[in-house]
Amino acid sequence: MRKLFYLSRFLTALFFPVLISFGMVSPGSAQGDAGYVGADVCKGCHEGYYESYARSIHAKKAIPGSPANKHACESCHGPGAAHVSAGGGKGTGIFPFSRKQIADEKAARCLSCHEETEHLAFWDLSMHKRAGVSCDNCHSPHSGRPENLKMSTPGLCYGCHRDINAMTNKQSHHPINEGLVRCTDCHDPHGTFSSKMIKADSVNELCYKCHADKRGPYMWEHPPVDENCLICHTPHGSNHNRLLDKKTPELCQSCHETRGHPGAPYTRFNTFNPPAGGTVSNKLVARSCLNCHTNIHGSNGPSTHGKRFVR
Amino acid sequence: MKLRTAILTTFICLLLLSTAFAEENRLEGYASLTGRITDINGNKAKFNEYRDIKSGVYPDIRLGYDTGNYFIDGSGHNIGFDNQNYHFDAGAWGKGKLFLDYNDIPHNITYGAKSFYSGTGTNNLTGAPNTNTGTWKTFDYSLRRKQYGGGLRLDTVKPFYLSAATAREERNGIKPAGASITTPGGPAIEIPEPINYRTNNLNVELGYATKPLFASVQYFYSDFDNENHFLSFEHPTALSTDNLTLPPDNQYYKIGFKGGIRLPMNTRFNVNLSTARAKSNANLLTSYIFEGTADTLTSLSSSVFNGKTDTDNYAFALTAHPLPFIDGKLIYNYYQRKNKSDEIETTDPLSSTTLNPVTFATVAGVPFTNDLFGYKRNTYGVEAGVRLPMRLTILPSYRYVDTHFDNRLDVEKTRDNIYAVDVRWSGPGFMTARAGYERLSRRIDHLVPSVDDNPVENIYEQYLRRFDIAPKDRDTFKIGADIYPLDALSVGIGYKYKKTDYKDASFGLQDDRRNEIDIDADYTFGKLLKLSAYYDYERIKLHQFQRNNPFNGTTLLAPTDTSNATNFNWVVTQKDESYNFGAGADIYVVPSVVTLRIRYDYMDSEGHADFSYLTAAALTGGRTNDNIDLDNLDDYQKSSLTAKVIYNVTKALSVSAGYAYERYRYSDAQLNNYQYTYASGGANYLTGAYSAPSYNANIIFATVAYKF
Repeated sequence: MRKLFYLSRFLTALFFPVLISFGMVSPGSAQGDAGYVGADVCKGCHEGYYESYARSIHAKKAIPGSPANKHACESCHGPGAAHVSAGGGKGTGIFPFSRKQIADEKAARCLSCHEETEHLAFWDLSMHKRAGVSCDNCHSPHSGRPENLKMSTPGLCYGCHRDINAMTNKQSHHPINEGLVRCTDCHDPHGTFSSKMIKADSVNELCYKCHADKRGPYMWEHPPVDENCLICHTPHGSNHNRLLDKKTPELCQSCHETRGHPGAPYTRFNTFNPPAGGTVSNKLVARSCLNCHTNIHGSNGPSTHGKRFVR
Repeated sequence: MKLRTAILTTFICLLLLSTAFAEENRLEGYASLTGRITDINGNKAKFNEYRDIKSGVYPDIRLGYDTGNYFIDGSGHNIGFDNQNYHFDAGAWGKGKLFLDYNDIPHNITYGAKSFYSGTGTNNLTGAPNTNTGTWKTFDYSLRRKQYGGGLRLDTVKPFYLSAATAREERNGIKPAGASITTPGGPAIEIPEPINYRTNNLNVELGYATKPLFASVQYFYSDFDNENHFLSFEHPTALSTDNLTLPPDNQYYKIGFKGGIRLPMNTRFNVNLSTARAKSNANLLTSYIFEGTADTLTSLSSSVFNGKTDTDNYAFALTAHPLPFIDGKLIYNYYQRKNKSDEIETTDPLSSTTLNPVTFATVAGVPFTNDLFGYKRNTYGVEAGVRLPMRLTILPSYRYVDTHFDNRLDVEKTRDNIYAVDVRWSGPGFMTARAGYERLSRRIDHLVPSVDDNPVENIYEQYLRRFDIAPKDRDTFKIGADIYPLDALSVGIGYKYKKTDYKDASFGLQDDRRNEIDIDADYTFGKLLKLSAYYDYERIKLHQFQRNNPFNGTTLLAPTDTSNATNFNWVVTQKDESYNFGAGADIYVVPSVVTLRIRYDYMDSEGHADFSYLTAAALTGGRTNDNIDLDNLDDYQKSSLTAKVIYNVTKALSVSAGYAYERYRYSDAQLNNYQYTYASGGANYLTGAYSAPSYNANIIFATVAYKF
């Protein structure tokens, strides 16, 4: 811990001067109390939006600091007097949360209340922030949906992550499209310290939350298993059974080349119905290598049988 | 059905109770009843892999009641089916809430599998092998997870908060396992493994959240209990009891701290510290059947194995936004997995895989121990974001990752340098275009083991670079755009190319190439029509170099040594090509009243393994380099069509009816012409796991829904 203490001091000492050298002010703009017209005025023209706000959690007076206890619609959209004076108009004298606005400016509106919650405490670390995503890309207080999401997951996430959608359509997949596993079971879209914004300090820690049987610790460990499940598996979907990234036996042969059967080619001449001159091989058919090496995630089996994961 | 009745009764009571107050407060929810008629031909397990679509009637219900200060909400979906789930929460706005959950998750693998063993589903399989599969007993490979959870959240003493949740999962069923029967490389038997797992989790978090400080401590405890520690089965040739070890009970806890503080100059310092421990214990077998004959261990330094691993994680991140057009981030992460498990010394009675280092003869009684693998990783990173005029943003980053491995035979340390730059442009106002490039360059401290320790495997280590740690250069290119020229039209397009060269690998995976294209579009034509479509394409190409039987019993052969009919080099290029498209339309026949919804999806994947023997003399038994390829590796086509009419009778009441068709065709060289018994180094026995998954299904359905 002492090392960590010194390390944190070192980091802070090293980079603070750099940041201070920018010597500039924050981008947020101070907002005065003048110019508010009240929610009833907004309702006059935007009844639909008002009704949806009124049904949302933002309208709960029981929640301290909620827009209902501030300026209602104008808590987020800003004072409306200029907008009203101008006779309305999209974005005229008001903050409309439109596509053309800078993401950080839109997010800053939300973060002014939500930043110091456990959900958004690490928004600065979020890949979404870095990618120019703002809160209103996913949320709308007017949606009427749980958590003010614009649509339910995984469809919401697929809107940008088209490649992930394609993977979940593959024949081997986690039951994401079936609604039994949610994107947010594994990922925190608001930011974490981990790569891919996973809800754990490591990939394995995340996987073991559901697959506790793989956690071991085993007497005979298979090194890639304990380092990262994703060395062999791809989590969103695969053409190959058990979410394997590559087909066996080639997956295993990627690493295991030695005397005996690991280095042999298993071809069409080793299928269940081989051409003349071939013979069936249990290294290829059915579950391939796993026909014997069944405890591939680890074993407490005896002697070389355990060491080679066959018992 | 008891649970279903209880839930329905609860809902009805809540409905009656809340209706009494409905005038003052808000009551909302819905109830629906869906009837289905199904006709499924082919593999019902694959069709219902993670679902439970069958003929019958099922309700969905949600009921919420809100006084403005307090709320109560409950819902139930697929009630009475294998994928049913329920959620209930209640609380006081801004003060706290309680919740309860129940989820049922099926995983159907293969129905109608069969085995000559009796006792499938238990941990004791008895019966002698026979080849008359007509007499074998059938069973289903299927798992079912029942998850019960509950918890609370308190915000009554702000800015402090407390959340606590507990969950229990019961997982039961049968999954396929296997065992070798005799010597390494000999015959195998597929055996049904009983799954009776219980996992209890507890998660508690106490936090403090107010500007400028956020801090929280977390505690997580998980206890995994396996009812079966061994699967006993009658050995097919020894005809005495053999044992397969099953996952041991384990316990895991983690204590963590997370915090962040806002500093001057729009900077923020974030920290994440945690320590965790996993423990297991297992009774070790004191005797076992060694390579097909009954035997006893010659020595075992302990008959109990105590597993223990500790993981420590320290992460720090300093983020800055010093100017409106500049972002910056500095990160440091230390992660260590320490393996403190028991080191057990054991021997083989006579091992055909353990050789005398001088004579290369098989030897008996050479002691060896389990390796205590562990690693520690340091990650250093810097990221920047610069917004330029014309809404152009440039995002460069750099990361350095070094990993030290404990007790790995092949590597001591890896060093990754990762450079990346992303560019985003939103200048035109109707589109955002993105491009990115990342380069990962990995170098390693490779260990060339001492030849004297293990002459065969160790000599070959000089040619092996296992792909998980191998030196590599990986380049990733990405380009994409989101285009919305009209409010009613949006188009997304993306392309990604990733190539990885494992350049020092003489054996094993040498080359990995992946291409992906994704396109989608949505168009809304006023109040008449909404259209959507997508297309995805992926191509994966992997190349491996291997040597058949590099050790011929007396001599070790290097990749460059002379080849012959039994000692030769060969290569394989594995390709996967997939495409996936779909289109859907919502046709508002009578706007807000009658909608016709049609959707079609199609997925096609073809796998191919192209083999080449690099020695002509090895092409024996009718083999040529043109007739040995595997042309169908996980080939499949899946198409689905849904047509549905939705009639909103009133704002509250809707009726819908429709038809769905789904067709799945699968072909795989490893499963086609499936045989339950076959000869390969002796008699092999299979049970049918994963075989013949093709199906087609017709479903007619109708739903009445009422919302309030």
